[in-house]
Amino acid sequence: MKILIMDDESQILKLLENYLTMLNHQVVTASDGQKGLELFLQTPDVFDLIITDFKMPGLDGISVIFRLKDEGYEIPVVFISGHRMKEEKVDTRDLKVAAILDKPFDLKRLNQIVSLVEKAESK
Amino acid sequence: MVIKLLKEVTILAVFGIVLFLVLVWIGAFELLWEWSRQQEGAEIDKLFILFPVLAFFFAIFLWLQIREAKSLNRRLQISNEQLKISQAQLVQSAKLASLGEMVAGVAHEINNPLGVINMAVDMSLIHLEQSKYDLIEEHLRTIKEQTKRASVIVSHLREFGRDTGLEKQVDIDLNKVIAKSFILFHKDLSNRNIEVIQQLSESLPLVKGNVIELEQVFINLFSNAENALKSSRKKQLIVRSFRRKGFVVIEVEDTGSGIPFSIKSKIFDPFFTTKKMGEGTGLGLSISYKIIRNHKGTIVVESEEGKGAKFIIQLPVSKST
Ligand SMILES: Nc1ncnc2c1ncn2[C@@H]1O[C@H](COP(=O)(O)OP(=O)(O)OP(=O)(O)O)[C@@H](O)[C@H]1O
Ligand SMILES: [Mg+2]
Repeated sequence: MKILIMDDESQILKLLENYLTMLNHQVVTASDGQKGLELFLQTPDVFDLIITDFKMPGLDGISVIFRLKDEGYEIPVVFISGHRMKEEKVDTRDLKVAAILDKPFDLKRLNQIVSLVEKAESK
Repeated sequence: MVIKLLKEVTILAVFGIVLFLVLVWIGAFELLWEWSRQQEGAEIDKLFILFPVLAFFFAIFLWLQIREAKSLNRRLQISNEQLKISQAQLVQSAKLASLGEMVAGVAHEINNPLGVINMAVDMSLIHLEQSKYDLIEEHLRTIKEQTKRASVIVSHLREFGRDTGLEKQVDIDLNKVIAKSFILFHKDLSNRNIEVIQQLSESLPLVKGNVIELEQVFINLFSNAENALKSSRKKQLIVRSFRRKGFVVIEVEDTGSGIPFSIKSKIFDPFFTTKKMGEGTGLGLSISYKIIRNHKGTIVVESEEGKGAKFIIQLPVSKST
């Protein structure tokens, strides 16, 4: 699968990229929402999944996904949340949310979710 | 209860007797009047006789009024007490609310390093299986670094939780207090694209005070600035510290919406807020004002609508420095 990852924390980006590349996914990373949005729009059709932090400086994860939806792209998303209490107020019902992962989460759990998305998409 | 009843009964009895006397008086008056009409040449002014009666009624009326006023006063006193109590409770809950916000911020700040640590451990385990030891070393370094990051926040939290009331006043470097208050705001501010400019004097004298209370003042000011910056194009938060004569001066300035002249005199009042119902208590500045006053300092604001706001705090330099 081709996966876009957005997170402002460089360590997280690196670890996620390592892990998912190891599992034979193609990974593109962006350190903020604006860059992620631009990256996605360059080649919108190649991406199968977006993994993004909820909150980021500038354009945050949730806004990017809504923006993409407005442009007509509905792509599965995995949100990473630092603190659910604050963030869960956002209404994500209209989005294709595969999962919301609370930090700290296990990489195995992420793998399970990614596999599920892969199965669902390949049907 | 019984005494009160007895008192009421006595009052009623006295009233009855008095009424009876009045009636007797009026009867006597009628007789006198009749008599004076029969007596040739004897001119008694009717009003003159009537006067004691009127005076008497007036006295009763007055007495009733005083009684009423007294009980009103008592009731006012009681509700005043109640108001004071509930006001104190509100102040307390405002503190708790800001504590809640603080806890949310702390949770966020701790979950971030924990998230990285957990991932690094997972990756280490994978690389261990693959015998990629150089990569494991890198993960360990990451873990070490992130642990430090988390422990800074925890140590801050520990200080916040300390009992404030009993703590004696100590010599404080306000630059440090400002830096600490920023730790919890850092993420929020950068998320909102607010540029923080710190112009802190390197040779700032110490002041006497309570660290946690002063921290609360800065957290309040930063949170107000953050709010005011929400819809403004230029988003800057400038914090200055310097010495002026016997005082340490701290300025917290923002390029936000500013304060309209009409409400400028009210912003330090308890419960004054322009926030929507349920979003703000309007206690932030009044608590800050009280804290600064307790520190023998002053806090004032310079602001114009649409031109941002500048809060200026002055605290006396500690004598032991
Ligand atoms: N930096 C600022 N710029 C513009 N207006 C401000 C600023 N700081 C305070 N105010 C005004 O003063 C009012 C009172 O502030 P205060 O901190 O006492 O309460 P609040 O912020 O409304 O509520 P709370 O602190 O409980 O969230 C605010 O509602 C706002 O109108
Ligand atoms: Mg406030």
